[in-house]
Amino acid sequence: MTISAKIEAIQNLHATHNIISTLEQSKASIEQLVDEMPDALFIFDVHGRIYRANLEGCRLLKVDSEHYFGLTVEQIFSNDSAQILFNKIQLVSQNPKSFERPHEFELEVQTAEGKNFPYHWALRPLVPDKYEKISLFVLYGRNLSEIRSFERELSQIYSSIPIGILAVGPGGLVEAHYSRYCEYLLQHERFSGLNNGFANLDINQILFEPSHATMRPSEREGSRLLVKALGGSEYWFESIRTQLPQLLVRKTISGDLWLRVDYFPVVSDGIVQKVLLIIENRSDLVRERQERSVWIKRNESAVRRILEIQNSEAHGLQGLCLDIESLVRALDQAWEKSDFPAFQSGIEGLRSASEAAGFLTIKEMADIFAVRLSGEVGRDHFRNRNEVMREYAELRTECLELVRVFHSLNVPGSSAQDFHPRLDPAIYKDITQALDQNIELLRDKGPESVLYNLIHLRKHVHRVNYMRLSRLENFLQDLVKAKAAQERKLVKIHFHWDNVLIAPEYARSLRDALCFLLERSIAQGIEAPIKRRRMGKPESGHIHIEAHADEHSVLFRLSDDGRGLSAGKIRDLMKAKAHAGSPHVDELDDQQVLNLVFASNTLLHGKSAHRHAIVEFIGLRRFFEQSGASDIGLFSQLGQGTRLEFRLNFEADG
Amino acid sequence: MRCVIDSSARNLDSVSQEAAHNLQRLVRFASLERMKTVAQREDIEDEDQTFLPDRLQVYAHWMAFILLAGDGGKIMFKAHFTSTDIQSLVARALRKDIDRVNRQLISDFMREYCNLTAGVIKARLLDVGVHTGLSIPIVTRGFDEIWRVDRELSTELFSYASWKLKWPSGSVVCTMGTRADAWPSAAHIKDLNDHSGQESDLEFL
Repeated sequence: MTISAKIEAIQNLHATHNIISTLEQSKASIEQLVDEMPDALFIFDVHGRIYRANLEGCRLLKVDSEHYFGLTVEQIFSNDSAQILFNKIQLVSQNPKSFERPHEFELEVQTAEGKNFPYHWALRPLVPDKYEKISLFVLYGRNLSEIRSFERELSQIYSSIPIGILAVGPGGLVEAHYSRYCEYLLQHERFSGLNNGFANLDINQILFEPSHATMRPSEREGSRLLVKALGGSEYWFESIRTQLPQLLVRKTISGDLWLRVDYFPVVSDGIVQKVLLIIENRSDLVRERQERSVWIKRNESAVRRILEIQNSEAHGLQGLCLDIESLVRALDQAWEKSDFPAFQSGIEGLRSASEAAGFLTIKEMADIFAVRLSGEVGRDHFRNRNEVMREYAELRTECLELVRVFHSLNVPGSSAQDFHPRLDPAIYKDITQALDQNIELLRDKGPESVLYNLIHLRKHVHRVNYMRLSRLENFLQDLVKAKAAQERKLVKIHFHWDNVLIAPEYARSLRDALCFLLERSIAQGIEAPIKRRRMGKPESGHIHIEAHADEHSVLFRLSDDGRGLSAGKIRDLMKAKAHAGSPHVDELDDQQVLNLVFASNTLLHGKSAHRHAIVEFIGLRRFFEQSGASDIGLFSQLGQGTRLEFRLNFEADG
Repeated sequence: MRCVIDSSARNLDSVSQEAAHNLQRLVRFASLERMKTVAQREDIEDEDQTFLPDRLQVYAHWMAFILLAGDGGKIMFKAHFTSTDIQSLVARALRKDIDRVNRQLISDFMREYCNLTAGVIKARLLDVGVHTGLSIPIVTRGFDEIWRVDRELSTELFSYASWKLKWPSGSVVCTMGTRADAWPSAAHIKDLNDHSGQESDLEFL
C-alpha cells in the first residue's frame, strides 16, 4: 500500500469514526427522550421480566433509575391486576395484529403506601413477527389520576346544573352518563338510587310513559318516532323533529311537573348515532303563564260584565239579577238531585232572564247549553256528569260574577243609579226656602214683589233632575282599575268636581266620553311603570278630572302625566289623510295643529266634508258636536302629558 | 473461566479451539487488568458469570463496547454497567466529589476503559502475528444487547464468554464474542502477564 493510500485510508477511518460518534449522540438523545417521557414504559418478556424501564417506570417499580434488572412487571400491580395483565400478554402474543394496533386497557397500580392509582395501558409486541427470536412486549402506561379527578369535578358540575341531560343510544336506551338532575326531574323512584340509575333503560319508560295521559295522540306518535330515528339519516331526523313531544306534564305529589324537552342528534357519517335530550323544569313558567292568562281573562271578563250591565236598557235590572241568582240556586239543587227536567227548566229560565236583562254572554252560554241538553241525547249528556259539570260550572260562574258586579255597581250612591231622577237634598232645601219666602212676600207686598223670586225658583226646580258629577266617581274608579290592570300599568285618578251638577240628558254621553278618554289615556298615554321610572317619573300615572260650573255651563278639564301627543305626527297624519286640503298645515304652529284635532269636519273641510277623521276620535267628536261643546282645547307637551278642555253649555234658565 | 462455544463451532479443529480458548482468557485478563489500572484500585476481582448465548439477556442499563478486527477474525468486547457503580469508581480515581461526576464523564471513562482493554488485546495478538485494528468505543443502552440475538448469533461470532468484575462498591459485567477460526496463531498465546502495565495512562481527561 502506498503512503497516499494509507493516508486516505486513515482519513476515511477518521471520518467514519466521526459519523459513528454523531450517531451515538443522536441515539443517546432519543433514549433520553424515552427515559424522561411522562408515561411509564416497560419492555419485558412473556414471563414479565423487565429488560427496560424508563424513569416513570422505575418510579412505579419503586426503584432508582437503571436498577430495574431482575424485577418483573407484575410488581407494580396487585395480584388480581397482575393476573389480568398476563392474560392480556397471552392475548397480544397470540394476535398477529397486535403490533399494528396496541391492546388498550385500564388497570390500577399499587404504590408503596398501598394506594391505587388508575392507569391506562397500551400493550404491544416489541418488534414485528419477523424477529422471531425477540419475544418481548412493550407496555405504555399513563396515569389517569388527574384525568379522573378532573372528570369527578366535571361530573359534580354536571350533576349540579339544574338541567337534565341524557343521551339516548341505539334501541332507545339511555346511556350510562347522564346528569343526576335527570333523576330528580323524571322522579322515577323505581330507578333512582340504583347502581345504574337510568342507564340502559328505555327512554319511553322513563320519560314519555308517565305523561301519556296528558299527551295528544300526535305527541305519543312523536315519542315513538324518537326511537325509530336512531340509526336513521340526519335528514329524516330533522324532518320529524317538530313532531317530537316538547312539553310534557306529569302528575307528582306536589302538583303538575312541566318538562321542556329539546332534542339534539349526534351524527356520524350522516347517521344519527344517538340523541342528546336536554330536559328543563318549566313548571314555574307554565304556572305563571296560566295564572297570568286567568288574571287577564278575569279582568277582561270584569270589564265586559261592567259594560254589559251599563249597556243594559232593561228596566228592573235589580229584579232580573235576583231572578238569575234564584235560578242558579235552583239549578244547584237540580244538579245535586240529578233532576234532569228541573235542570233543563232552570237553564231555560236563565235564557229568558238573561235575554230580558240584555246579558248577552249568559244568554249565549245558556243557549248552547240548552241545545246540548235537549232531547234524549241531552239526557245522556246530563248523565255524563263530568262533561256537563264543567259546562255548568262556567255558566254558573258567569251568572254569579255578573250579579256580583251588578250589586257592587249599585250600592247606594253608586253611578248606576245616577241616571234615575233623584232630588238633591240641597236643591230640595233651596226650593222649599224659596217657596216659603215667596209666600211671605205675597202676603206682605203683593204679586209684583215675587216675580224675581219665581224666576229664581224656576231655576231650582229646573235643576231637580240634575245629578252630581261625584256620583260617577265609583264607576270611573272601577273602570280605571280594570283598565290599568289589563294594561299592566299603575294609574291613579283624581276628581276635582265637588258639588258640580250636570243636566241628566248629558249624563250618559258624558260618562261614555269620559270612559273613552280614560281608556285612551291609560292605554296610550300613561307609560308602563318601568318606563316611567327610567324617565324619572313616579311609577304611578296620574289622571285628573276637573269640572267648574258657572251659571250656564260646566268647564271640564282632563289631564294626565303620560307621554303626550306629538304635534308633528298629527301634522303628518293630516297631510297623509289629505286634510291639508288646508294647504297651510305646515304653517300652523304645534298648538294650532292640536286645536284642529277636535275641530268639526265642517270647520276643517267646509261643506265637502265626507273625509277621513284626522285621528280616531270620531265618537268623542260626535259627543262634542251633539252636546254643543265649546272651548275645546287640546294641550300637550311631549313626554309631560296631555290636557283636554271642553265646555258643556246648558239652556239658559230663563 | 467459563467458555461457551456455539454449536456451529463444534467442527473447529483442535488448534482453533485452543485459539478461541486463549482469546477468551486474553480478553478476560485484559479487562481485569485495565479496570484495575483506570480505577486505580487493586481490590477488583473477576468471577464467572452465567452466559446463555441463545437467550435474551440484558445485563445493565448501560453498555460500552469496542470491536477488534483483522485478518478475517474479530473480537467484540462489551462492558455492561450502571451509572452509580461507575460513578463511585470515577470519583475515587479522579478524586472528585461524587456529585460532580456526571453522565458524560462516566461514558468517557468507560470508552477509555474499552480502548485500553482493546489495546492490550491488540498488542498480545500482534505478538503472535495477528494484525488487528480497533473501532472507536461506543457507549449505548444495555438494552441494545437484545439485537445481538439476531445479528451476532447468526453466523459472524460463535465463541462467547461473560464474566463479572467486582469491587466492594460495584461491579461491571463483561462479555465477549469472537470468531477465532481465522487466527490459529492465537493458540500460541501463553503468558498473559508479560505485558501488564502497558498503556496505563488514563487518557480520557
